[in-house]
Amino acid sequence: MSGFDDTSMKFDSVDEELVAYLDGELNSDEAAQIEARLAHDPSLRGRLQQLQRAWDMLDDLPQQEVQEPFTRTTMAMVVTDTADSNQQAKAKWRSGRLLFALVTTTSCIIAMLVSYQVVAGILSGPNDRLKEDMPVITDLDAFRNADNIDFLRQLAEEGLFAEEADDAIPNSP
Amino acid sequence: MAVSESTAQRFRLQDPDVRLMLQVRDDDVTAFEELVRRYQQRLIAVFDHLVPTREQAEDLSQEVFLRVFRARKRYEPGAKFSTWLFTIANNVASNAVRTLSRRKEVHVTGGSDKSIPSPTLEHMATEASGLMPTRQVDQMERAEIVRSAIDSLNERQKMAIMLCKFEGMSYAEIAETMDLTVKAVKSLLSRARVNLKANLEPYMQDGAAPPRNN
Repeated sequence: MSGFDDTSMKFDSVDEELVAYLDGELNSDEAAQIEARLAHDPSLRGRLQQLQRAWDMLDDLPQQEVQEPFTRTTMAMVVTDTADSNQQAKAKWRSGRLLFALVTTTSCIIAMLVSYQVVAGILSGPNDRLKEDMPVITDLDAFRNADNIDFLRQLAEEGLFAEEADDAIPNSP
Repeated sequence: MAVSESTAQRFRLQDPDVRLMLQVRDDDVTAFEELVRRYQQRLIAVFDHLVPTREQAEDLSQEVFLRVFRARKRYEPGAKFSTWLFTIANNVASNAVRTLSRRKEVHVTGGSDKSIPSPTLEHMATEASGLMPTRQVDQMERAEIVRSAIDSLNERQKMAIMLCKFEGMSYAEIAETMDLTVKAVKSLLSRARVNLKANLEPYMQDGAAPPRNN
């Protein structure tokens, strides 16, 4: 609640009671008290009459008629405002939908990429191992018959198995 | 603020304008137009005393109606419709008066002290009575004198006077509309009416008081 800027003005509580009395805002006891004071105090009666006269003079203010165009322009303004609001709401809805579509598409693409990576990882793991072990698999019977692993390593270093391994591996994708 | 069902029901039954506003809440434009017709003059009359020109008063009234329409979906009948409407009007008026004050400050700083001062009430009353031997000031002059007296009040006093005099609001309704306590409204209206009396005293003492209309 904001404060008044006229608190410093001279103010008489009697006036407050008189005004409330004129406005019919006192209860019956308060009104009776004021009436008793008025009956015995001519200056108070004079003050009451002055307040009432000033109040009645407000009736001299002209009653300016409102013209029909005012009603029409008010209604037109409200309709225009409503239309603008609807357009804004629609535009907001459209931009929201666009954003949603963008986010959804991006999410889908990211999900697809991640899925591809995961699936590729799962699928390529055994193949890599298979490819690595292919020379051994190819010559598994020979290795089974060999007793000395150092001798086999020596043969491998000399490239004895390489050509066979290449022949054994089909064309890599 | 949440409104209890019993309160909403009470205002729905008591106030036909609340029922219209509930139709507006359901997007009934015809009901809204009816509310505009019912309140446009009353709103303009209040704003007319708060801003310098009639055009500005009409603009502010339209601003209020626009806010009412925009707020329709959130509307809950927790008070008489007029109280709710004038609460919005009070907010719009406060904002407008603040803006106007800022502009005025800039204008004054810009050097408007050369402007011709407006005639005082006393001067107007003396001039009017002196020019007319019958001491009968015509309607327009009386209205101008009263208007000047109101213009000399501060914005809150003006608003309280308008709501009390022309909207016939009780102190409790004014308190709700202006976000004040009833006690504060009592003080505000008292100061407003004492100031009004003081401003109109030269005119009243001159014996040229207009006849009562009511």
